[in-house]
Amino acid sequence: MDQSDNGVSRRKFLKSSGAAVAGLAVPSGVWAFSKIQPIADPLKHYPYRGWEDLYRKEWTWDSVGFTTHSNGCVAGCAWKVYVKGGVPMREEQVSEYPQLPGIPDMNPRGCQKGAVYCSWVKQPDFLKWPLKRVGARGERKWKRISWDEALTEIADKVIDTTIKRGPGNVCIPKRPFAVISNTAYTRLANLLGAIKPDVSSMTGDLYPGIQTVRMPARTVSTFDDWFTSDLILMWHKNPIVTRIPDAHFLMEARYNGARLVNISADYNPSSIHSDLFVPVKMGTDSHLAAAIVNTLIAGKHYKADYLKEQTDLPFLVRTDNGKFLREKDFKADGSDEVFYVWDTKSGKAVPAPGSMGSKEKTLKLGAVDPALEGVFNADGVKVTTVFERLKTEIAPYTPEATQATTGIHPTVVRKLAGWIAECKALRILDGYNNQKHMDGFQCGRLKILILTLIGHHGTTGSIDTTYEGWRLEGNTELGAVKGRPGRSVSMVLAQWVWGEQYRRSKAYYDSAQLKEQIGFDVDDMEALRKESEAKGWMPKWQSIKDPVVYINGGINLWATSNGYSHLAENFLKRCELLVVVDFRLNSGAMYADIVLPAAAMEKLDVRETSTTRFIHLYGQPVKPMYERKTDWQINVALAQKIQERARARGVGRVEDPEIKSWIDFDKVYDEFTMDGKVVTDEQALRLVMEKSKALGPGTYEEMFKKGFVEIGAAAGKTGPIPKDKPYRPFTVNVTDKKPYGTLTGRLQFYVDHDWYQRFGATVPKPQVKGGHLGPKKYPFKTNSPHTRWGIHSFARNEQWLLRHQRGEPDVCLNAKVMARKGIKDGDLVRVFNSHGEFFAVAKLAPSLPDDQVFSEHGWEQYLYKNMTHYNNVGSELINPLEMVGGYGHIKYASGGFNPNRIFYETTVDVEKA
Amino acid sequence: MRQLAYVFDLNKCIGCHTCTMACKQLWTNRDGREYMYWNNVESRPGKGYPKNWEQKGGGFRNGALLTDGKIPPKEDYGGVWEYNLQEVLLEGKGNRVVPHEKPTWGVNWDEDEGKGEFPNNHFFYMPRICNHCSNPACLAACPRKAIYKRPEDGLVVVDQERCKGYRYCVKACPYGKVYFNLQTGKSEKCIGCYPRVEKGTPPACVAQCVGKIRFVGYRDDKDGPIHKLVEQWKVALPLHAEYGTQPNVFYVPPMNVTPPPFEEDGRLSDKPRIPLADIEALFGPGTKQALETLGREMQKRREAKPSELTEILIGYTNKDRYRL
Repeated sequence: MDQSDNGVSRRKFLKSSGAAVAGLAVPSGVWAFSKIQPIADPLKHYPYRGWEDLYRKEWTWDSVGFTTHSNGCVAGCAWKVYVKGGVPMREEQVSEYPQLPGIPDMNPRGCQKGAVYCSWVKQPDFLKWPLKRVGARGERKWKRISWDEALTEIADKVIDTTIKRGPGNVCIPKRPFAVISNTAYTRLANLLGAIKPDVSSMTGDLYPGIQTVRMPARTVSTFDDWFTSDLILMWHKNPIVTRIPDAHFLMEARYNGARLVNISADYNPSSIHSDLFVPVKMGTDSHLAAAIVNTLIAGKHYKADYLKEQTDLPFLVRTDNGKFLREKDFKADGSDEVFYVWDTKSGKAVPAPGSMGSKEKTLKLGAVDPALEGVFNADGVKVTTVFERLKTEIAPYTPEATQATTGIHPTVVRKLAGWIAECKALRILDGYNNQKHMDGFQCGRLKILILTLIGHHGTTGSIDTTYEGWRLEGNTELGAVKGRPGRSVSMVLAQWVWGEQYRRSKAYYDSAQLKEQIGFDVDDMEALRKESEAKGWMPKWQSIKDPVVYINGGINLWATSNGYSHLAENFLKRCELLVVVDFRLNSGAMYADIVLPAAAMEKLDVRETSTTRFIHLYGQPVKPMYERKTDWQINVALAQKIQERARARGVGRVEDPEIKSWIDFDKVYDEFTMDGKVVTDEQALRLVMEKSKALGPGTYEEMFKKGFVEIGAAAGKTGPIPKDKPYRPFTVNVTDKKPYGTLTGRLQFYVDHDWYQRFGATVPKPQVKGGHLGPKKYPFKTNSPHTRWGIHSFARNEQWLLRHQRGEPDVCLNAKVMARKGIKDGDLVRVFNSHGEFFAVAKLAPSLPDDQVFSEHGWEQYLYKNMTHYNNVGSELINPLEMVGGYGHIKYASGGFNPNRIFYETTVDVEKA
Repeated sequence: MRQLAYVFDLNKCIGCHTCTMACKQLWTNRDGREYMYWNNVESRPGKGYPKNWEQKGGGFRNGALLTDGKIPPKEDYGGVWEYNLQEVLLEGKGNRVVPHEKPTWGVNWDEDEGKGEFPNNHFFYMPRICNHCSNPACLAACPRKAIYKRPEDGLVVVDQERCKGYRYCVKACPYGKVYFNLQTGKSEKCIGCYPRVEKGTPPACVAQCVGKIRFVGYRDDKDGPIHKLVEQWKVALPLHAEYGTQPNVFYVPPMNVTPPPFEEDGRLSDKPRIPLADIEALFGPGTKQALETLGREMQKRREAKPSELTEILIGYTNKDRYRL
C-alpha cells in the first residue's frame, strides 16, 4: 500500500517530528552540553526536551494495511494495521465513516478484542504449519507434515469413504465469519454431496418463534437506527457487553430523550445505564411478555387499522376445529392457502388478499373493513377471529397472575406496559438468549406481538434479532453449484443422534416434571423427532449417515453444544478422520487427526453484516506467514488434490440418487474454480463484489482505500437501503402494502398446524407452565451468556484480556450462595450434576440472584482443571414446535427454521473443590 | 501555558476497556512497562488499580506536599500472567493451560462487583489516566526536577534521560498513576500521547474509545466541549479534587437515581440506586448540582424540547468531541 495515502509515510513523519522538536527548543546538539544547568522550577520552565523523541519514535511504522476481526462477531469494524519490519504491531480504527443527517456517526467502531488482535495472533497456539496426530486423540502429540501429505491423506479418505459408504458420509461444518472463507466450504461441500450443518441453530442463534411470524426472522435495523427510538427494551440481550461497537447509540438515544429498559435475570452492565431494570426470574420471560400483551389488549392500546391490514389477527378461525377458514372449506377444489376476514361492511366472509394462495399480491384491503373481534356464521361455518382467540387465551396472564412466576410486581409490569403504550418508536433488542430457553419459541412470538400491537413493526420501530448479512448475489453464485445441493442438516438433531444426546437427556431430566410443565418428556421428544423425519419435515441425514470424514472449518463443535466430553466421545466413535482447519489450536482441534493452519490476520476477504451500512475489508495487511493459507486457498488446494488423486486412481463420477445429484471426483478442482476463474482469493472476492447488485463494479478498489465500502439500496433483504437515514427492515410491507413471506402473507400470529394445536401453541402464549425445567434436586440454574472478553472462543485466551479477568475460568456466585456453601472469592469450586462436572474459581457477583451459577461462555477446555468444561453439565432438550414442516413458510430452513439449541434448562449444584 | 484537558462521561462508559488496550498496544506491552496501565478502567465502588490506590497517600494538604505516600507493592498492580500454550497444546506436556503464577489480584479483579445486594446493587465504570494536573504532586516531589509540564499542552512528562529512579513521584501521586520501570530504572507514566497531540491526533485512549465518552481539547478554548462541560454547564468534575493537584481530567458523574431499586415487596422504590454521598466522595460537592442539571436537561429531551447540553454530550462526530 502507498504509505503516503495515509499521510504518515515513515520518512515524512520522522522529518516533521524532528522539525516540531526544533521549533520548541534549541537544537539537540546544544542540550548535551547544558545538562548541568540548574532547573529553577520545572512547573514554569524546563530546558532539556531532546529526550522527548524517545516516545515519538515508538509511534512509527513502515506500512499500514486494513483489516476487520469479525470472526464470530456480527459487528464489522474497519481497522488500520500498523506494520513494522514485516510484523503487524498494533491496530487503530479507521474512524472515517460518513455521518447521516442528525444521527451520531459510527466513529470509531471496534472493541478491546480488536485492539489487541496483533498481540493475540503472535501467541504460540496460532498454527504455523499442518500437523498430524501421533498420539491418541486429544493427547496433543503432533508431527509437522507438509501440505501435500495432509491433503493427500484427506483426499484419499474422502474418495474411499464415498465409494465404500456411499455419498453423504463426509460432513463439513464451518463458521469462518467472512464471505469467501465461508463460502469456500459451502462450494466444496456441494461438489462432494457432503453434509452441511446449520451452525446457527447449533450455537443457539436462531429465532424459530419469530420465523413463524415473519420471514426472515433474523434481521435488524442498522444499529444507528437505535438513535431514532424513544423506548428501547434490551431483552435477553446485554448490548453493553455484547455489542460494544454500537452500544454508544443507546447512551446517545438516552440523551436524545429515549428511555432504556433492561429486562434480565441479572443486574448486568446494560442494566446500569437503564431507566428501568426488570429482574425477571430466569426463563419466565414468556409470562412477562404475556402480561404485557394482556395489559395492552385490556387497555385497548393497540392500533386496529394497522392490525387489520398488516397481520392475520382479523383472519377467521373455525370454532369447531380451530383451523383457519380456508377456500377449500367452501369449494372442493379450493385452495388451502386462501384465508378469510369478516367484512363488517358487507356482513360476510371475504377472501383476504396477499396470502400464499391468493392471486392478489398485495395487503390492500380496498373497500373491505375486517372485523377484529366477534363470532360469525360464514355460510354455515361458525367462525371467530385470530384476535378473539388471542384475547381469550392471553386473558389469564394478567400482571397479577404472572407475578408468582416472573417475580415482577404488577405495578412494574403496568409501568412498563404504560411506557410501551405511549411511546412513538419502540425498539426491542432481542438477543440470542431468548431462544436458548425452552419457552423462547413462544416468547419470541410474544415479543414481536408487543411491537406489532402498537403498530410499530415496519413503521417507527423494530425488533432487532441480532443481525443478518447484506444481500450479496455474487456470494450465492460463488457457493451454489447447479444440480448439487449437498445435504443440509439441523446440527442440533445431528448431534442429538451422533452424540447420543437422547440417552443422556433421558437420564438427566425428571420425566414427571417435564410432563407437568410442558406436557411431554424426553422420550416424547425422540418419538417426535422420528415422526418429523419420517414426514420429511426435518432432514434425516443424521439417522442414515455418519460423519466418517469430518472437515471442520473454523469451529469447535463440542464447545457450541451441551455435554462437551460426552458429545466428543460419542461423535468421535463415528468419525474416522477429523480434520480441523483453524488459525489456532483450539480445544476442538486437540482431538483432530489432521490440523490445517488457516491465515488469520493475513486474510483477503470481506465481512457483510448488516449492523452497519458498510462492507468491511480483511485487507491482507501482510501476506500469509509461515505455511498458513487462506480458507479459500485451502479449499482450492483440497479440491485440486481430490481431482489429482481421483484421476490417478481412475475414480470418476459417483451417482448420488438420494439427492438426485452426483459427484465428479475427477473434475472437482475444475468445478470448484469454475474452470480457473476463481483460483485466487482476489478472483473469488471480485466475483462476489462485482456480481452483487448492492455494490457494482469499481467498489472492489474503493474498499482498499478506507477498509470499508458503503452498500447500495439493493443490499437490503426486506427493503431498500435509504441514502440519508438508517436502514429499518420491513418498511415496504407497510408503505407499499407488500405481503410478507408467510402462509397468510401477514405478520402471522396464528398457526393451525396439527402439532401447534396438539401442544396448545396456536397463538403466542407461554408454553412452559413457569419456572425452570432442570431437575429440582439441583438448586442452581446455569447461565453462560456472551462475555465482553471474547466473541465465543475468539480472543478468549488472549493474554492481555486474561489479565483483565481472573487469569483462568471463573464462576460467578451471589454472596448468599457463597456463604451458604462456605465458598470464598478466589476458591476453586466444583460445579456438578449427574451429567458431569467442571472446576473454576469463584468470583463474587452481587449482580446475580441467589439461584444462578453464572459462567460466561467461550472458555477453552484446556483452561479447566482436569480438562473439564463449563458445558459438561449442560443438558439438551428439543422443542417439537421447531421440528414442524410442510406448512407454508414453516419448514426446515438452514439459518431460518429448525430446532434451536436450548442451553438454559440445566440445573446444577456447586461446592468448594 | 496552554492546558490540554479531558472530559470522561461516565454515563456513556460501557466498561469495554478498548481505551486500555489501545494504550497498552501503543505504549506499554513491552520493555518493562507490561505491568503498567497508563490507562485503566475500574468498576466502582471497588478497590481499583493499583489496589486501594485511594488509600496510598500523596498529594497536597493545605497547599503543602504530603510525604506520607506509599509505593504500591508489585502484587497490588496485579499479575502479568504468562501461559504454557506451547507446551500443553503443541507438545502434549501437562494437562492444563495455566498462568505461570496463581492469580491473586489483577488490574480489573473486582469487575462489575460494586456494592449492595441484588436486585438493588450498583456499580459503574471509571476510566483513569494521568490527570496531567496543573499542580502535579509528582513534579513537586521530584528531587531531580526531571518532571515538567510541557508549555504547549500542559502534559506532565517524566524526562527519561534525567530521571534517576528515586520514585518520589510514585509516592507523591495520590492517583497511583506514576510507575517505576524495573527494566530501565526510571519512572514512567501516561504521556498524554504527546507525539500524537503534536500532530493534531487525539491520544489513543480518546481516539479509540468506542463508547464515545471522551472529549479532549484545551481549557482556554471557549467554544470547545471541555470549557462548556466544565465551566459553563458545570457537569464535569475533577476526581478527588481534595488531593490538591488540580486535575485536568473531568468526569460527568453517573446518574444515581436510575434504574430505580425495589422495595421488599417488589414495587419500585423512590430512593436513589447509588447513594449520592458515594458519588460525592469521588467528585465533591458539585456532584448534586451536576446530576440535577443532567436530569433536568434529559427530561427536556423526553418532552421533545431542545437541550444544548445533551447535544454536546451526544457528541455526534469526532469533530464535536476532539478539538486539538
